[in-house]
Amino acid sequence: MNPWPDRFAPASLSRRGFLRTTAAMLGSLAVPAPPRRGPDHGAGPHFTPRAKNVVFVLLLGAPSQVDLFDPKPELARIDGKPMPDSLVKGQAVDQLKGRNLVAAGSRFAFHRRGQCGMELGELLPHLGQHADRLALVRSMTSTIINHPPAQSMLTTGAGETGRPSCGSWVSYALGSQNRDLPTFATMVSGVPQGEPPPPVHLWANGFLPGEHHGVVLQGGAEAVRFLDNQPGSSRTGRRAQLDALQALDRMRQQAHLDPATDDRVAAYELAYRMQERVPEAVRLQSETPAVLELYGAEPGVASFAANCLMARRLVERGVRFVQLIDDGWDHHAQLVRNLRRKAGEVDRPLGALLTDLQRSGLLDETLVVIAGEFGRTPMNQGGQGGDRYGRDHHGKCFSIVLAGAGVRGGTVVGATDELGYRVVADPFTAHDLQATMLHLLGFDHERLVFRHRGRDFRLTDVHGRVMRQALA
Amino acid sequence: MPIALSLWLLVATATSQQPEHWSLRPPVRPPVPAVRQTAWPRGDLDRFVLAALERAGLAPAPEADRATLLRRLTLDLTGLPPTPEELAAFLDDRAPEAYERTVDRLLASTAHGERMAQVWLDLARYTDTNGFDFDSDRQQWAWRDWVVRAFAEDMPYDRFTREQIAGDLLPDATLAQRVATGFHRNHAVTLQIDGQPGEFHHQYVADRTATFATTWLGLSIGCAECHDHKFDPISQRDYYALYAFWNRMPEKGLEQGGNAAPFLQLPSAEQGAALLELQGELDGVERRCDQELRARATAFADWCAGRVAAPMPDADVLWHEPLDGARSGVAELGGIGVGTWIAGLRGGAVHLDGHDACVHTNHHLELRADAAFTVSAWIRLTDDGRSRGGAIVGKVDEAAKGRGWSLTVDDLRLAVTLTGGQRDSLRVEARDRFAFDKWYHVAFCYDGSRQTRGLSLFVDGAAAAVRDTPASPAAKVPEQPLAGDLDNEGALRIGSLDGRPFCGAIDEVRVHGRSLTATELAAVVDLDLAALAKTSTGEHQALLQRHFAARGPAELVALATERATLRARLHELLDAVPRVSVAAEMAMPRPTHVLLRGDYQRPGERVEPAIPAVFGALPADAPRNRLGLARWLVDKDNPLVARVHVNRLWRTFFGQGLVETPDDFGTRGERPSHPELLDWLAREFVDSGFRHRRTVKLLVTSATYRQSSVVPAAVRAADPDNRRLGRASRWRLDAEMLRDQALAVAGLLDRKAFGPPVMPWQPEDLWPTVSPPDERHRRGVYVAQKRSVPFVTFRLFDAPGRETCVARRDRTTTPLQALALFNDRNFAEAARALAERLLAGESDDAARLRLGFTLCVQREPDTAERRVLLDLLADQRDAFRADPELAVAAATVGDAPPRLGLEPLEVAAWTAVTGVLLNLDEMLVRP
Repeated sequence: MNPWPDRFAPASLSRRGFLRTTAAMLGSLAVPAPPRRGPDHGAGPHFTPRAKNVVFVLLLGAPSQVDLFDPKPELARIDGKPMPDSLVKGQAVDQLKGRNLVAAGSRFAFHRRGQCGMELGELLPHLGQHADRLALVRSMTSTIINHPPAQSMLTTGAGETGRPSCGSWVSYALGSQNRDLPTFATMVSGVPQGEPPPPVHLWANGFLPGEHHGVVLQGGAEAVRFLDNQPGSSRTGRRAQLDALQALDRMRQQAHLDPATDDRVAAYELAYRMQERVPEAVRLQSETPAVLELYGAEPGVASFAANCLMARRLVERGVRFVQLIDDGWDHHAQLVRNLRRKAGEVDRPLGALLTDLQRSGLLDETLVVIAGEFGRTPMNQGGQGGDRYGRDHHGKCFSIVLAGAGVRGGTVVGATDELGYRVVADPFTAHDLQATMLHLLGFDHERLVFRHRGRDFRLTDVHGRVMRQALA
Repeated sequence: MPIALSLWLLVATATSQQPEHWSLRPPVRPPVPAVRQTAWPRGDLDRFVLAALERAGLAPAPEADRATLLRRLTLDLTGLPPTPEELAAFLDDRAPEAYERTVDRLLASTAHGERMAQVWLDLARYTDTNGFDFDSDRQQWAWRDWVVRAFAEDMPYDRFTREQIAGDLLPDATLAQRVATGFHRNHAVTLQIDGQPGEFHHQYVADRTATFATTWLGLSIGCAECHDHKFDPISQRDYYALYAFWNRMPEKGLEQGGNAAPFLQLPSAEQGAALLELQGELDGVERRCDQELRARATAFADWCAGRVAAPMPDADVLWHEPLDGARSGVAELGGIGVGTWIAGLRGGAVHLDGHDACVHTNHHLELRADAAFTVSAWIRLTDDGRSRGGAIVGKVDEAAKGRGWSLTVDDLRLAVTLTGGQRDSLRVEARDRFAFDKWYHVAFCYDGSRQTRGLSLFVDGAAAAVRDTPASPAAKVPEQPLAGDLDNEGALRIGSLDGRPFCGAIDEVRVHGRSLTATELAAVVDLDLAALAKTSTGEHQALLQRHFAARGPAELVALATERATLRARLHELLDAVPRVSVAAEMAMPRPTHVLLRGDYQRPGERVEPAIPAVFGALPADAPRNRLGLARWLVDKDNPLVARVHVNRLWRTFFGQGLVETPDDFGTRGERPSHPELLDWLAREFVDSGFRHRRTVKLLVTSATYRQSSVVPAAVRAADPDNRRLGRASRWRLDAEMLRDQALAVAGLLDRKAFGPPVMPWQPEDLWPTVSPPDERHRRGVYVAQKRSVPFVTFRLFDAPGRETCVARRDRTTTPLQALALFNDRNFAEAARALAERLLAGESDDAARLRLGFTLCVQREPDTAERRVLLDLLADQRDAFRADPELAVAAATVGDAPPRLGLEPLEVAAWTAVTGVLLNLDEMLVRP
């Protein structure tokens, strides 16, 4: 009763077909294909991909585009004065509700960078060195201005939770390049002390099969959940256990003849290899002092810098989708001080990541995206003038950065009005960004679907258009 | 759209005269087919299966051996493995009805209710938290327990349906019937105060509608939220007509934490008796208070007259905001809610509507942590059905982790919070709750000591009893002096701070530059009362009487104190009474409109509650509400309800449904593999009165169910997915069963049923606080379902996140699962406990191994298996002998107390062996 001929939905469309092939070709951590699984391999991309890997940097809390990416001299000129009613009258704001809306010009200088002359804030000198490799999109918009649903929108294409995250979609669509490591890895930094960690749905598989769930790599002692043996279990002891386990499972398989046992045996072996390979992949001690210095990373110390360096190591090892989540960008007050600190934490590592990927040629096949969930107001929050201004949530415009595979370097896409209040050219949304990511990976976002509860779901819902202006 | 596709669509539309979709026609009992192999079928069910096999030239598999059958049955029906005793009894019982007796025993257990509930909870997206940003706790377990009981007690499915859909609307609805409707309140609710209520409310109703449709109708109708779809039997108008049934609950789009209203309170028998008794005592004291007051009318009049307008006591007032509206000059109304200037105790006061209205003030005031000060105000709370207080006054920097100070009413209790920074705050909360619609004078004093004990609360000029630290253990902060200071960038505000809008009136806010004594505070109160006594027109008599009682003659004071104590005890008791959110119908139902493109801001045509047109219409005399809907569902000719449920049962006991898309019986779903069998089962189910046990028994006593899952490779290859049912399917157990089984064989499982959820150990970064050790070994169905931070091992084994209704779980195989089964402390602990059990239970290695095998996989090891494990044991003994410290670590892993009298070396070596047993492929599957 499926009215859709299979060829119109190439990435494994019938549920049954999918289940047959899943372990063979799709799983981020799926076991190697047992021979019985037939010739279903290779329902690959829809067209030749430009990118093989993605590093998706999420700056949670929404960094201020007005102070980092989108210079507004006119805003500085009317600093401290009311915003024109023509712009702000009757528009939704978050915590500024009921307050006077006063312009707050940025205290940060902007400089022209690279051959292209892209203007970037003074807090991003290292990123600025790569200006000719960046596509800076100044015309992003979000209809949601609360953090959790907006973050969910950015990662899963829906404000409500329960949908698969983009990494999971990519894992589902592409499969693994490395049998010993996950396809979709996510790392978290910058969570303010005492605050809860970012919610799991930012890397969850939603309704996609479980193997597409993002694997959290942690900066602490245990790089992957339950990777470390319990006290009292040594590696040699585990080997002996696994040998016995495999022997017993194989003997029993003679009796029950279930080929699925092959999958389970393989999974245990893969787990054992992961116990060795994952720590190796995340062990920064093996990097040269020069590289550590480049990133500003210190082995054994959890940081965004360490995560960036790990991202390069993972991409090198064939991890398809690396999601770096840096929290702590919600600067309602004391923005100058806070933004200086946060930008200081990420600028150098981001510059280093691009330098490093570029040096090794990996940047040609790796898409790097840097984005927050929405923007910040050009208006002041908190009633404090001078350097103590803050900014509220803002969805009418914000900026994101693309670099690497398939990206047209040295490009500024879109524009905002002279006060940086709203987009005036080429508006884009999270769905457009997601469509663009999939496009660079060789997928038509309208054809990458998964049937769930009778409906064909897409990452981009019913929206999304590729941001061609940003692409080479 | 590609040309080929659009052509194809055109052709399809043109040629099909819409033959009605199979699932939309009522099931008709089909004739039972004739079969050749007449000895095999045990009943008509088997004849349908066999006929199909024979048509395909296939034969059924032989019956599985008895041990396998018992393992299969026990896991399928209870989610637990059989015990060695149950196994021995079953193997010994050669009577022909032994199998049936076992089925009856298992079906009659609470464990069966727990196992079936697991399936239902996935559909109902049951959780113990509210979801969205704050993911605060809710109490919904009373509904979960209702489900467990319903299955355990063989509630017929029609009743099960009727009560969950419309229990509250049944004539003389019992408490349990109203609890049943909690099904529809399991969706996430948001607590944010600054979202769009309409948007969230629409999400709740849409979620309810979709969940209802998937659970009972097996239809996925979410597509119709935005527009009509070709081939889809449900139009957009149908969708909103169904939506209308779920759009009539008295609820808000934005909630306040805890249980979203409407909810029930469910006192235990003891709680109920205690509540009644307290209420009686309280009534008595109130009556005596009234009598005493009446008897002292003259004294009261004198007292009032004595409140002469004294000059303001020397109270170092740093700031006084009289809240007299425009006259005060410095205060300004703001926020998105509505604030109004009203008549107050002295001049005006401000009334705030609980929707984030507030009073801004330009007064510059910076309080410091090392200085003493006092803050006081008059308040009167208004009950708007959701607010229970809010911020009275404070100066807080939301962006700096709440640094600052605030005086608030939280859940009707006065509270003061001083915050220096992240996890650096002092907080004191009053024990007693305020009543609505009464004026109170409230204050806190701080002595500049940076200590909690330096904070005190006053109500009506008297020190207020302080409450112990709030219940949530996660919020518990060790008693530490305040480290940071209080000065901050936030604005001094009255009525709303950090998303806590006040609902009610506020008057005469004062900040004093030192810690006032009780006498001084009483003088401040008197000052305002004096003004009141002079001008009062009777409106404030009650207030004056209360103060007279509290500070007048000794007898009255004693009575007032007793009354306050009784009230506090009553509230305390009410707090301890569990709640459950339930469905209810608005007196004046909200109108429902078709929402254009699913946008809640674009209402179109108005619709009334109705079933989708493809099913006809509700009978003329049926109520147009959930009750009418429920009756239609359980009508004997409803085409979907019975089919969907028997298909679900089939999937539960055969591994996959006769319809492989249990959530989609629509035109885009899979067609049934055995359509006649499905219809026959549906008719059997309905015609026998929707009986649960009878239907399950029909399935699991069939020859089809009892087949072996072992077949030669060639037979398997002929039907790799076992769609023809020529053998039993073998599949990996569900997440909760894996844990339950490990705990059961280790002897750790706590079979206590029902009650609040428990939090077993999981990594500290996920759940910093867990249940006490003696509550950690309950079954998985009782493990807390926290939406934002789920129990991670369950998620690794494909347990759904419970964000939406899920009708089928995946069964993946991943290395993360292998890591969890060895290294999750819960499983490592189970391995150790199993090792101890074997060591304590048997005296030689061979016997221990036999016991271990019997516990885990219900058979004895063969020679080769024994050799492998004894070799491992010897190897591990050597290894641990060489490293005694490692042995001690292995012998004490987990939280369960070690069994006394066992050698650590032996426990360690055996733990390596039991770790293998717990990971056996045979252990992880239902055979």
